[in-house]
Amino acid sequence: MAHIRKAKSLGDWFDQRLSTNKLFEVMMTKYWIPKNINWLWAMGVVLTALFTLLVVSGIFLLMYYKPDEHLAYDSVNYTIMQEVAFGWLWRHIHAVAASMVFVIIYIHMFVAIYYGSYKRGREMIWISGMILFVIFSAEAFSGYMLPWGQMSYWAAAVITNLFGGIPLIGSDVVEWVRGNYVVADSTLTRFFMLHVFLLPVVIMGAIAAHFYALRTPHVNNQDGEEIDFEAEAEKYMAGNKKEAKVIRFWPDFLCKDIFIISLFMILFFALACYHFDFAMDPINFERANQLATPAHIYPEWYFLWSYEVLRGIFFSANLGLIFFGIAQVVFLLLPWLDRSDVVKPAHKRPGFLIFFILLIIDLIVLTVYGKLPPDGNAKYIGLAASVSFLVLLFIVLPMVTMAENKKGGE
Amino acid sequence: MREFKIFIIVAFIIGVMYYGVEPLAHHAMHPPTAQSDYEFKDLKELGAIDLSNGNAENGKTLFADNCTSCHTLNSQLDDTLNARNPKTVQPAVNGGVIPPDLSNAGLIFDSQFLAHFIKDPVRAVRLESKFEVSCEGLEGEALDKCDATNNGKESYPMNAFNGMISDSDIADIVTYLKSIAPKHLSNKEVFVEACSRCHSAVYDKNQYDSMFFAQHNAKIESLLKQSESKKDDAFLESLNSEDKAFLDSLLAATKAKEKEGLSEAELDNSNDEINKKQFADYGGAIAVLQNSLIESGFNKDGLHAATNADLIKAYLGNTPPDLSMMIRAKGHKELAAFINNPQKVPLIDIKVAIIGKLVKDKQNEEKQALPENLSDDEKKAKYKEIGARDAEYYGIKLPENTMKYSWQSNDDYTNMAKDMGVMPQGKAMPRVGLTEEAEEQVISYLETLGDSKKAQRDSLGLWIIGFFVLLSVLAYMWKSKIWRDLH
Repeated sequence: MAHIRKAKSLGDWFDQRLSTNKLFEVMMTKYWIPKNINWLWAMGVVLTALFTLLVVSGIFLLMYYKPDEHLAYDSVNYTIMQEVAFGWLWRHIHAVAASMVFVIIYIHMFVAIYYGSYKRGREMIWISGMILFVIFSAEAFSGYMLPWGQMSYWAAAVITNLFGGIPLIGSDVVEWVRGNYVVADSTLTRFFMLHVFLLPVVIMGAIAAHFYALRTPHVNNQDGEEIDFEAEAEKYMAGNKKEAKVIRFWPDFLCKDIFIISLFMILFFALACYHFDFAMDPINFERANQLATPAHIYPEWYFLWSYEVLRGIFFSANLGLIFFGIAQVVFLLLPWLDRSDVVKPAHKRPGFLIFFILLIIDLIVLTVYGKLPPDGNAKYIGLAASVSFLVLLFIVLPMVTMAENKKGGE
Repeated sequence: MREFKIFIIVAFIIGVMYYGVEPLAHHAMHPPTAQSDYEFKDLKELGAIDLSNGNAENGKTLFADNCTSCHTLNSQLDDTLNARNPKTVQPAVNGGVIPPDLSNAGLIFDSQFLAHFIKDPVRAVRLESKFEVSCEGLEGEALDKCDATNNGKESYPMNAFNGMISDSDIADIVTYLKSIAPKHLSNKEVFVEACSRCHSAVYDKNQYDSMFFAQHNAKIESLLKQSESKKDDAFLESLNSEDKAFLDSLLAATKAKEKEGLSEAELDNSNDEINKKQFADYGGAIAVLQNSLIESGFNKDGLHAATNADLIKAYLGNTPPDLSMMIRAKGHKELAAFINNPQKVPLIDIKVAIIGKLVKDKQNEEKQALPENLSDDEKKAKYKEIGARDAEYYGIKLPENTMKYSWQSNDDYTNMAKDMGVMPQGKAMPRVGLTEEAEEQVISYLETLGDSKKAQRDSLGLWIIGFFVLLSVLAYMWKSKIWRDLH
């Protein structure tokens, strides 16, 4: 057993028992981040803050929410929104944060693509991140069902119905997922369980894994430069802070992030209090009614691009479903679809830059047309964008990056 | 500088996407419809009814003769106007409704609308697609056309007075209703009057009544103060004519309330008796005054529609939705447009219906022109071929909008579509004919009910934003301090 002496302070008391000083060093003051970064590197911490907001607001909502097809709608719209003191605030925070989480996830993800931070040793960061994206999607989908409004009900009906496309066992799977032949009380209660227990726990685990995956390959920097972190850290600790290419996670890196989070929260609460319709679709304030199908059924904005990949193949539901399935996992394969060894920002990789811009444009087109009613030309634009999406990732990207490799990188 | 450039690019991309999924998609899903019309110009086009010289006294006689078999005026102490049992469904057969009491009709409904409603209710509420309109007074081709469109339709629960009484009589009745209407009603009273015969609003559990009825209660409180240490007679004696009329209205309301508490069968026995009651029957004027203070208790079930949902479904074909959260589901603007005229359909749908009809006509023409000696299979194949031809094939374009009223927009083909018999149907709800002020009160009520925390949200938002602005400044200063050593 270690030698225990009289503690000099409360911190010392804990340090002798839990090695808190060492822990703090490992996690914070001797965790090294490159200095050559910009505000896009703050998105991870912004996401952590948003997830915390979601958990806290979710706990408050959970105290009044009733997962029952006859009670859910009123528990949300009457009890929480009107009766509970500041219940509306928790709900608006929860709904707007759910939407903003995806804004930031997409930024975070495309920053990684732009700067090539998914390859050459950083594959596990990327994969754990993409797994988080998938679980967050499931979390968002299950949560959207809980208020039991019209779009809760009908989006659930349409999306669970997708499983019906699986060969042979499709209809059984649909029934198993819903717990009934139609979306019903049993569907609500199982998605409630997923939303408030299983998925959040898995998300927390995946976040820990994502953070851990960062430690060995380290965070990338603005120029994709390979940094000798140990040598640079020594420089820093020797007092040569200006020349060192690294900074400490705490307080150097986080003080910047805290500033950015503060700025972000200005926007966030402006949205939560004054401009929330984008995250709280008005139609979902209508009570779920299985006898009245809404004129337009669409998912929340962050699912629109993949929904449009599904819908864009308008002539074949099965082929659409296959494309949709591929679209869900294609980003997981990115480190291998990119055949180049170069880790550099896209503006220093001309071919890749063109791919990147086309991909962004294609995703915007998919997102916008994913919501528009599929009349007239919209159908064909959707088809073109869906096919382009797969062509870009499976053909253009490998070709561009192979050509880059041949050129020898520079 | 680089940080700023990056911000511009990210903001631009998000902005484009936001524009696409919010304003653009909203526009695509809610195509333009005709503008709201609070003058009810379409009714004036049927023949404006001159309301400027109405005679209220004659109107009262006409009302007693023509209206009291179905309607009451429970704000009036006159028994002849309240002789009918107010809970009887009318007409008694085939799913009728409980006809409304008209005490407040003169305030909340537009006068021109009201006049046209009396003349021909179906045209006024714009439910021609479901109910028979009045063809009275038409001749020749117009009559034939009118009869043809009525063919197979149901008759409206209220008959049209077109042809039974003259326009000037109608004007007198409207003038009378306006003369007896209150000057002001609370938002809740307007809602109850205008909407809750069909719609429930179960989130109204009377929790806002102290606000809605504050004015009413304040007036009673001040009269109660006047009545202190006075006997009933002396108190009534001391009132001016306006206060006396107010007290009479309270007596009338007390009677109405008593009737409300009774069943239809009980009312059959006691309606006349209640009509004859005086202040003394309710314990005197001061007691009536005291009992008229509105201190509503908590009503767990909330405000329910006055008419049974099944009756309404039989009458209009649909169960009216609960309106508690409608303000969040539709928003102020959309609600206003809808209440003004629930029959509004997108202008583009009207045009499509017209072109569809023209194409159909052309196809039928071609089918007629086929040689008669074709075999069934050949005929089928030909029909299929013709059926696949579209407007482009025939070179059919939207015709000039020659039938529109002068005040309608060029894109509004309503008249032409109606003339061709292809006007798309809107919602099952009848047009209610509220004045713009009454409509605003209804929406205001719905906002109190469904968005009760709006004021708190608006003010708290600023405080939270202010907090983070301050935090940003402090965080920036801290960051600058730390990074001074790093750069």
